Amino acid sequence: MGAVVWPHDLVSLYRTRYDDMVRLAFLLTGSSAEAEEIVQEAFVKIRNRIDRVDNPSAYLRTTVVNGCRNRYRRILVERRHAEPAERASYDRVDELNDALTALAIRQRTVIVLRFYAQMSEAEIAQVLGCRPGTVKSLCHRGLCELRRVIQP
Amino acid sequence: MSERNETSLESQLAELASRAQPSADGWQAILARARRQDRRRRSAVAAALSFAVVVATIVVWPRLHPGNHGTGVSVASPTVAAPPGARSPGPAAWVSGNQLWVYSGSGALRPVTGSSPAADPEWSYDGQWISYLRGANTAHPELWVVRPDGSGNTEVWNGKPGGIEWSPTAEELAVSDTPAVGIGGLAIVTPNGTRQTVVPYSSEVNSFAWAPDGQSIALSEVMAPADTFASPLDIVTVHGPDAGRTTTVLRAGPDVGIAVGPWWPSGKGLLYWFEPQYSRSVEASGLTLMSTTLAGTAPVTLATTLVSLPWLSWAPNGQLLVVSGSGAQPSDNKSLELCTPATGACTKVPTPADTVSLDPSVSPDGQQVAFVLASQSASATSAWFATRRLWVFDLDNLADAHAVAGASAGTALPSWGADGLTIGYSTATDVESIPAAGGKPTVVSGAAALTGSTGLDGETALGKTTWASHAVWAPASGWMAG
Repeated sequence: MGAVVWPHDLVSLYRTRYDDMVRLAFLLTGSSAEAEEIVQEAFVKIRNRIDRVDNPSAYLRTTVVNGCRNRYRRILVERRHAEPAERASYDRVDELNDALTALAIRQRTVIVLRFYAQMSEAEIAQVLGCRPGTVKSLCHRGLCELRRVIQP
Repeated sequence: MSERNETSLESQLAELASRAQPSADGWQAILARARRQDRRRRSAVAAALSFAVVVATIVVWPRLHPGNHGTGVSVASPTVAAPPGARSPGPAAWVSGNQLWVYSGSGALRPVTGSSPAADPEWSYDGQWISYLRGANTAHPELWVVRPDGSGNTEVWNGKPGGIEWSPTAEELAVSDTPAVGIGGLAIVTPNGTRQTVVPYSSEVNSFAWAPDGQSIALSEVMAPADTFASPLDIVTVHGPDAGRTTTVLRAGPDVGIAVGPWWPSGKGLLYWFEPQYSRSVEASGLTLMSTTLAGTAPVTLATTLVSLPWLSWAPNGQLLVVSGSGAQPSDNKSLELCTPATGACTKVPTPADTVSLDPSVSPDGQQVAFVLASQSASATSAWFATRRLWVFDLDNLADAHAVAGASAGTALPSWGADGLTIGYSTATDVESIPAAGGKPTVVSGAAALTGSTGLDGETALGKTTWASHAVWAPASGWMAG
């Protein structure tokens, strides 16, 4: 019935990377619903280009990261006007989430890509379109902000 | 930052990330998004092309041909110009002021001279002819055909029609006569005046339906005395070497009639309703829609419905959209179900609470469905009519039903254009079209589009939403004509 023909690579990419990308986007946005929307939108965006890229997985990740950065300003505004959520408990991970939310989006992105996605500074620089030195600086400042939370 | 702290950060980020719960239907959501994006793109391209055509017509043509301010298209009088830049699903026909009107699909409205009092326009499969009844409410209605440009206006049959249906593959009409109980017969007539008897005048045909290949007709005769003869559901071959051959698919019980529904698009089966005591009042409260193969083996029930063909719409893959629910009022207890006729499995299309869903129409590519959503009401008053709105959903995502932004209130009988991008519909006062993705509706005609029933068997009184003058759009594609 469906007239849309999907590249085989894209279907494989969905099977292997969709969940990872949603988790990455969740760390970058702090919102599970937004994360899913951004990742789904990323798949739609890359569907016609996937045959022409060397590393579809990296291309998808860059698209997701850019999607999160584009939406982050709106998410912050919405969060500012939202009622604070009732929490049954508040642990170190919640603290980390709040601390990440308080970071500037570029710092947050660098921290997540470096320490969750295990990317090198050079790879992060490529995704963000900046120099590796800038990544190093953003990472340093971000970690200083987080130090309070991640003290053992 | 120490190595120990970094390791702690990594583990805490991993723990935080695990709180995200990716949904299991992500792929379906991606497909739906892709489809919406494609539709928006197609609409944008179509709008740009329309704009380019308008610019070329208004600006470029007069400069190239300073002595000729027309568009080069010869339009015979009398016609009325449609709104500039109007997009429509294609040609349409309707009745206004007792006269048949034809819209060309690209610019002109034309009344058909000598058509009054007209009712029930229907297009031939190829869009080359329109049939209509003249004097439908008189003792002697006449069946006429006319070409969309107004030529060839000819009477092809007269009598008291029980049913009229164009062949899905040829320029010919099957029409049953019901002058009195037990007689009338069924004939095939053509615009050039030929007539072929299918069922003799000595028998009464209760209802009938053309096969998708146009080679045979499914029909059911009224058997008298009704309490002793079981009505058969027959297939009569009308063309080819086997013309005249009759095959009985199944029989109703004593004193039970059969209302014949449409064939499966594959031609391998058909739909029907058992009609206890041939009673139209029983029919009006809803009958069980059945489905059978041509072999008559293992018929299955689909849903309780009114006997109303506009409330059945086929998808190209053989699935069927049904307006289900009992009760004569279209405003009460009516919902859409997607059924598989071979198995009888039906799935309800989710819609908001306290609403009814009516008038389904599947897009030519079989991917979308346009329908009317209205508030639930005990009776179909004019106030209820104003709540009727145009909605759409994807056939592979029933939960995604949503309103078409911008469509007018009081929508009735939506119909897709061949491009799959535009939906035409009638309101109480207009014939309109709108991009399926939403936008500003184009008023094709401001003439009153819905002005009353045909009076044939008091259909409106029995709850069927048929009107003598709703806009009928030319066939979008071959499979829909069946």
